[in-house]
Amino acid sequence: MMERRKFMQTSGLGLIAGIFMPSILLESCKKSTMNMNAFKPVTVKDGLFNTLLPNPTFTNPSDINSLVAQNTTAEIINGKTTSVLGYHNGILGPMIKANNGDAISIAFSNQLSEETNVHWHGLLIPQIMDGHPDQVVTSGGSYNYQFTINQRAGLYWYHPHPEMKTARQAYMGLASFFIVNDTEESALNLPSGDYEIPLVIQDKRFYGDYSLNYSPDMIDVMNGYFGQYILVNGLFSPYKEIETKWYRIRILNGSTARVYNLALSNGASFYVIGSDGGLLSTPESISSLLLAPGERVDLLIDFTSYSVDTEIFLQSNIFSGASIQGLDQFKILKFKVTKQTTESFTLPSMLSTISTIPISSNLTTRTWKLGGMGMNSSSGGMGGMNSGGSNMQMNHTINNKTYNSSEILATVQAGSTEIWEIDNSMMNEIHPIHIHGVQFQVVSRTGGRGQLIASEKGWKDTVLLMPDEKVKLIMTFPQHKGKFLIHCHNLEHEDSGMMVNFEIV
Amino acid sequence: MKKILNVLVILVISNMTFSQTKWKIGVNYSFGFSTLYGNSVNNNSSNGTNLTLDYSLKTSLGTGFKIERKISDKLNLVGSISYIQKGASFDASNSSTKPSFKLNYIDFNLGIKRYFSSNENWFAGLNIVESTLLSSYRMDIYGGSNLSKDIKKMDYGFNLNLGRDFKTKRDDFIQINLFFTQGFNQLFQGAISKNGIQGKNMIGGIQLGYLIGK
Repeated sequence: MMERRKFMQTSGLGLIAGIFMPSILLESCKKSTMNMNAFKPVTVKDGLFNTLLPNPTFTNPSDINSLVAQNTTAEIINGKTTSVLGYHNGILGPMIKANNGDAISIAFSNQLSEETNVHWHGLLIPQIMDGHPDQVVTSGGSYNYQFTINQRAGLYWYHPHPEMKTARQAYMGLASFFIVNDTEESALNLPSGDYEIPLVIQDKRFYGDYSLNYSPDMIDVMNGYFGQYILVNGLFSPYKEIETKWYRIRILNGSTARVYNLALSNGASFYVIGSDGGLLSTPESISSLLLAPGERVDLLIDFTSYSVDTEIFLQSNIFSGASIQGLDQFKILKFKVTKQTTESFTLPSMLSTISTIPISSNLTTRTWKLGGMGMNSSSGGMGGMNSGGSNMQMNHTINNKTYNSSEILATVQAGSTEIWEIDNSMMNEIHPIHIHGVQFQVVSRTGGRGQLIASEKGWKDTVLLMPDEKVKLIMTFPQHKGKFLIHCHNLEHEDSGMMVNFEIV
Repeated sequence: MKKILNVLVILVISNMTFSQTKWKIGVNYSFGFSTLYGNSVNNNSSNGTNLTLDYSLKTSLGTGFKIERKISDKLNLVGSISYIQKGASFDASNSSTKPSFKLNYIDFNLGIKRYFSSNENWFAGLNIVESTLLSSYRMDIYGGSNLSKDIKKMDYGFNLNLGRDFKTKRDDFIQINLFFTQGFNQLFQGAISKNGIQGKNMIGGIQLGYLIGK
């Protein structure tokens, strides 16, 4: 049955491609290379997991004199140098750790040859600081990001958000953590210091000279751009030395398109304690968890019962119902037990209080339909493809609209509560939908998986929709007024138009 | 480089202004294929990656000025300055994106040309070549990244050519030759060089020239 399902999925994609992309089919047939495997993501390559993942170094925002988007180099693959983009020397950027209430002032400088900006993903901050594509910093320019943190503890992050350039810039290395602490979380005495490990998982392709290869073709724009090499905190195939203790593993999916079904290689269960917007109300024991691009998850893993020299992998398991994704299992990070230690931590039964936003019949409900696959002939940009001399471009849409900076599709009142229904029943694609400027709760999921997963029982800013799924979200808009975005965090989809404005007034 | 250009321009102007005896000057255009000679490596790194860098041909265009001076019945001194595209395509596994090293040079050639007979048609030439890098990019069909930090600015090599001069009714010359140029330098430095990648310029093609003089 599984094989038949896969066949139907890929056949469906092939049919769509045949309708909408005659030029690519013609071109491919000429080369006699077109087959259904063309739609399957590149196969992930296993490494030797012999590169030590260093302990994280957190940076207090007051210690950041400047954040500089720049061309730099990094040692992603052991002993090899790769040109990347970074917010400091090396791939990614400083792991910022702040407290609720902190006043943030970060002087940002753009030393790239193109415009960029910084979006503080998940933070509830004024619109002019949010990194909207309207507010880009030109090459050589600078901008002072100033805001006060006024929200609960959580694993947030930052990355570029210029129109049609987000995917490439994030892929080339511009991203990092912005962790917020608060007194509620501190009181729990969760594992910290060397026992709190933030992990950003990304997938990359390399050219033979070890340069990063970001070159999405039309099929990549349709499905997302998948890499063969899985990176953790900018390192390929690393291992982490651990003790026989509890660890707090805080994971960001920083890939442009790949969804991970996180699990431990020995099948052991672990606890999910937090999501995009901070702690859940109670820990929930699970053995695997889907994490889509842009989403974060906070895990507690109990390594106390393992003996020294035990090796366990964090891996991505096969999963279904996700179109062409989830077809392979692959390893991500090796945990190697190197030290026997006494542990005093006990898992708290309660973590936080999540006040459920009440649903009433008089709430405004809006529907956002996800679609796309249309093509136009505009030049350049994501999805551009030379075919027969014309530059075709693939589009993804929300409510049949591609991104238009000046177009606002919804106006909402600050302080009001609304229900937003997101409908992914039109296409056989995966869409992790991110809403700027607000944290929401997932009320329900219908179609597809038909239920919420453990990490969706708290505050969220990004929610995954598999094909045929609809989710119902409820949110109360903060007082920060202005133009914000709802978009797909499959960054190839975002850059091909799957992004629209809404305005808080 | 500017000095060399100035000298050549002066030579050309003076030659056009004054006696053209024993001198030929003109322009040349070339079309050919370039690649890099070096390690088509199978880069097994210590943590399990297995990347392969395979160089293949990319097209090359060139244009410039040429000057020749007769020094004996069959022997000419030859100098030229040309803009020429070099580099290589690479990574057949990523061929759909057509990755390439695109290197643009100014080549200064100085050498001798020997006719096979005194009627001055078929000839062979040997030049030493000094190449100054103008620009360097890693390109694919979606754009390029600047490699100015990763490619050495200068290269040296030799040029072999075999061709024929055709005298026109106006006593000018149309010159056609096949050429091959090999660089001596390992081009890469910086990040690419650290990764064990090597490459020397190699280019071949056909050159068409039009020269005036006697």
